[in-house]
Amino acid sequence: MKIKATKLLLNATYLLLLISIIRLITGATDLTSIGTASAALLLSVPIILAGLGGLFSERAGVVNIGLEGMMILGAWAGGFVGSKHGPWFGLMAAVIFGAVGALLHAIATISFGVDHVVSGVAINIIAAGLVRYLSTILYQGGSWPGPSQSPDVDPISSNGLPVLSGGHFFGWKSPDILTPIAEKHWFLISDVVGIIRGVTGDLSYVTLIAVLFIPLSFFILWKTSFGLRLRSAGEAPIAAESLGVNVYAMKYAGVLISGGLAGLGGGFLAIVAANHYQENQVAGRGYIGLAALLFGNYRPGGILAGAALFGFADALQLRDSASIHALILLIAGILGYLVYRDVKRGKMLSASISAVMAAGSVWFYFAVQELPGQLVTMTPYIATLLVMSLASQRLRMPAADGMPYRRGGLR
Amino acid sequence: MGFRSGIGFSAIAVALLGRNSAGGMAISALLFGFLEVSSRSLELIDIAPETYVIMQGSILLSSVIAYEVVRRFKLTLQSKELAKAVAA
Repeated sequence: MKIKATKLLLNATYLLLLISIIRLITGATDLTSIGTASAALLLSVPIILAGLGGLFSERAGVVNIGLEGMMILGAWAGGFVGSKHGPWFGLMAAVIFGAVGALLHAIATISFGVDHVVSGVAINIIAAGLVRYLSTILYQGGSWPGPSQSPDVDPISSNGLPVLSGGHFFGWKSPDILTPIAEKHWFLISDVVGIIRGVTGDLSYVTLIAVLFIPLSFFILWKTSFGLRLRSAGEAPIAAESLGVNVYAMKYAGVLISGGLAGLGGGFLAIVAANHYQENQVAGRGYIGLAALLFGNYRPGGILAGAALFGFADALQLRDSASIHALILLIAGILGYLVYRDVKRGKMLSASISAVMAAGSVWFYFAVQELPGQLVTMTPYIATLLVMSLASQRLRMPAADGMPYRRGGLR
Repeated sequence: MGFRSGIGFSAIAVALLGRNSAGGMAISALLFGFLEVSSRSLELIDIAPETYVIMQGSILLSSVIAYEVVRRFKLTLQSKELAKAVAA
């Protein structure tokens, strides 16, 4: 565990070094600017929440394709209740609505033993139709400005780290030391400072809570007896049952927590990321959360890494399309590192493939002056796909994930 | 009619409703199409036509639950008959 952490830190340092060299060469200052870092955090929070939702459900042995639908329900509830009773009640309603969607999934899959994917797809369809129906009714009743848009929700206040990132406490406004350093564009120092300032300043309280859910879910799932029982329901339900664990209750708990987290992710989209609910606001983030879960090998830290990768690429794409061009050089650098690693390990075939791809990216960088807009929008998806295919990983899903279970070994 | 989106996604539901058999899929596709087209007349009596999506989803969910309940019922029936035959 200790060695793994050091290695992770070392790799992160290499990556940071590479990014700052590329920033110097290309002059794409937005790669590590404060704005990019904070936008990346804002964009990854819903994906983190969806991924953690998937984690609780799949660790309990229930595949949850319905995350998307639960996020849609949460986003709608956030807009509906939030615009009436304030943002915090909106978030609470989002959690409850997500959990109601999850309850439907739990009844279908756990009590009736329906195929998990079928039930998830049905929930996605029902949720999308239900919110559209309810929005139309509210619009016709005159309380909503449009059939696909809720009234505005009051913003939730934000705060930052004291002294360093300009936080404020009890009316005292602390200085903001990091911003001027980040704007100096010094090699490496400004990059590190820019990223730190981006993720520690001007944070919405909800963002803070959402990020704290990552260590919290690790603690609950791996350090408490409840977590052990929940995971045993996903690994070997019959064995767990023989030891007196109530597998049905564990599965219900896992799916309900899952729905609550996904609903909170939807509510975050409506209340914090935007200031009202809008149709298609979720736009597949439930599925991306599921992808982050798989990428992270069913672990909270891995979910954070997957969500951060997607959020970073998405933020860069939204803020400054010119820096996407610099990203090609970053890919070339990472491939160059892979070549070095494979040569050292004596894997000549994969080293040469990586070398050709690296040369291709360098050529592409110099041949193309500006990327077409469609390609820029695709960046987060391409980046996720690339990393998922390049990172050689041994995925291990919970052993009884997706299997129907009935008490007493009945079919 | 215009270009419709989301057909691929509905197709998953149609395939699942038809229990992955070609004939069943044809029937379930007809049902889904019928629901969608007939929903337009709902507008005449001031009901939001989006209800058809909810209907499709609930049909899918309730029919798979019904399949499962029937399967379980048959299983218990079988084991009861077996027990009777063994006892006799």
